[in-house]
Amino acid sequence: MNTIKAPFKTVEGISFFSEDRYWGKASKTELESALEFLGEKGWEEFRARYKNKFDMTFEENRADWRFVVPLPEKFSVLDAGAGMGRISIPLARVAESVVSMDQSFLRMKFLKLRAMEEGLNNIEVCVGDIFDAPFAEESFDLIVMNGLIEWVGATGRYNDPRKAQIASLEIARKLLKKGGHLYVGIENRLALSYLRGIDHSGLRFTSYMPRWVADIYTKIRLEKRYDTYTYTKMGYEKLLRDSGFSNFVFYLPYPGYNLPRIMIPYDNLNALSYTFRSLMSSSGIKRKIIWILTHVPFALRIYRYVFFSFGIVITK
Amino acid sequence: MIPRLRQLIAENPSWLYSPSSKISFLKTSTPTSGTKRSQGKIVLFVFESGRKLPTLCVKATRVYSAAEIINRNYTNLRLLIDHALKNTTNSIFAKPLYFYDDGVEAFCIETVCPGERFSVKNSSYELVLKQYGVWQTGLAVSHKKILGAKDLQRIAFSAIHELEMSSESARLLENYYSSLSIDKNIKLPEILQHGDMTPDNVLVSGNKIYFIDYDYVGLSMLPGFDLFHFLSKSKQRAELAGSFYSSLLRHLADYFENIDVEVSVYDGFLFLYYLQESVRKGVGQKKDGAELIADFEKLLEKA
Repeated sequence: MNTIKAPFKTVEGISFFSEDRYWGKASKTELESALEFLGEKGWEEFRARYKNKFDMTFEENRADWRFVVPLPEKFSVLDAGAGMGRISIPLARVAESVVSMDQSFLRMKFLKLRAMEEGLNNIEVCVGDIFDAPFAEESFDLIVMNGLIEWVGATGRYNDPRKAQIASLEIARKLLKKGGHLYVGIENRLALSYLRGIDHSGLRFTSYMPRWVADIYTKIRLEKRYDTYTYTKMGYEKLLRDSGFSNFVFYLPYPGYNLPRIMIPYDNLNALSYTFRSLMSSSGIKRKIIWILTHVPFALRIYRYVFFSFGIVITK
Repeated sequence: MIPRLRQLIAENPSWLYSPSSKISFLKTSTPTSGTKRSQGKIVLFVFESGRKLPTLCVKATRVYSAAEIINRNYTNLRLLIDHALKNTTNSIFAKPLYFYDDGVEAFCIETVCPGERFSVKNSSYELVLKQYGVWQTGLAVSHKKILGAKDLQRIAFSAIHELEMSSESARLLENYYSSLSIDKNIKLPEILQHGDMTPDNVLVSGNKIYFIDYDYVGLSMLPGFDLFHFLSKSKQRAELAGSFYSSLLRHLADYFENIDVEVSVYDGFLFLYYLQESVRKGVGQKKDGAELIADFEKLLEKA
């Protein structure tokens, strides 16, 4: 790993560029136990016992958005917020080199073991966050920020979460080679699915609220500020421009940015209509909804505004 | 892939309706693609600005080591077109345009079959069967009737062998096939089959139909295989008149009459189709001979 900073410590061969901060739905203890189990019993039993746990997958389709990114034949990658490696692993099968970086030591320990198991010696892992990224400017052809931007405001380094987001994007811009690409996978602030689900804050409906209302609401309910900002398409465009980018293409990942089975170009409503009519099998009520979306004027245009998430291909 | 694709499109402007139009890419794959390492096919549709349908369909794999799938798909499509040209029904398939392989990545480019997903309605159902029949009838005209009862038995036993079951299961299946009726004096031609004619692989546009996905073309050359496959895959979705078994026999009777083959009993044929289908699905790894026979009889609602 070519770094311009020395790690402040190294544990089990993994360099630390920031403090270990565990994150995830499962507890740290659970992941520690799972890694011990892996060491004792091996991969076959681990796969069977911990299937669908810890945001982990052995599927190869989580980096499929790369097919709409104009990547060169040989490319280097920084996977920022790499987690358990569901994007790093499939990318490493085709990239020249992959650096996987995450705040959690346990996650990087797992990813390192997984890369060894897969025989992928072009993956290097380190503990770090984007603000402590130890790499020289113009080091990477591709930087991945999948499910990351919404969380960087929560690190507490900036009073304004939006400023933290801009700072992280500016760092990514510096680390990208000229003509390189940044891929951002992230939720839509107006996603219809938030009517049923919970926002990153841990509360319902906060992404729909004005920021200051959401801030008061989370302070009352959770005794912390609202710092996990998501945006509309226009909001992301402004955020990217404020971070120094001017060349970006939006996609609608279906069913979502964490499983980009279909990547629909946002600006092409015909492609969205075609997706519904020809690529999705449906019956009953779903078929009726699709009929309405594809036959009623403006229905698709409005549907884009409330689509679950975006995949943004940004070129430096 | 995108830079190579853009370059190829620029070098072949005739592929587009309007070479100067802005193009965008829609990526898709099947829900199961990538759930296992071997399932790696990706499809990229090229849209020209302002056009309702994509112009080009590009097929690729996640990793180069799986590129054989793409090569096979492209070769199969060429085979279909070569056969279809003889009877002018080539418009039910895409047209192969280009196969790219630089040793690092491989993809093929085809035209796009226009149309929407097949839905099981009587009108589109009959349309599919009718147009499929026209294609097969055209092929039958140019092929001699070379298959007899012994050849069918050889094909059946070969499929049983390919199932890689225990010798006991294999013997059970061979005996079961031998117990089924088949015309001793039958003579029929070998006809190219699509190999994966499921409702999902049929597109309908007005009164036209298109078959897509060419991975298994030529897997079977046995007349009626596609029909059996299509009808059995539509079984749960179609409101077929009468029982599945009687509907199957009715459609097969029409089909064989169209290709000018006299068949009086079908049970041997049906099991033969079922065996070939089972080979493709790798059923031999999961079931024994008795289970396979039970499933077959259940499918036909004869159990």
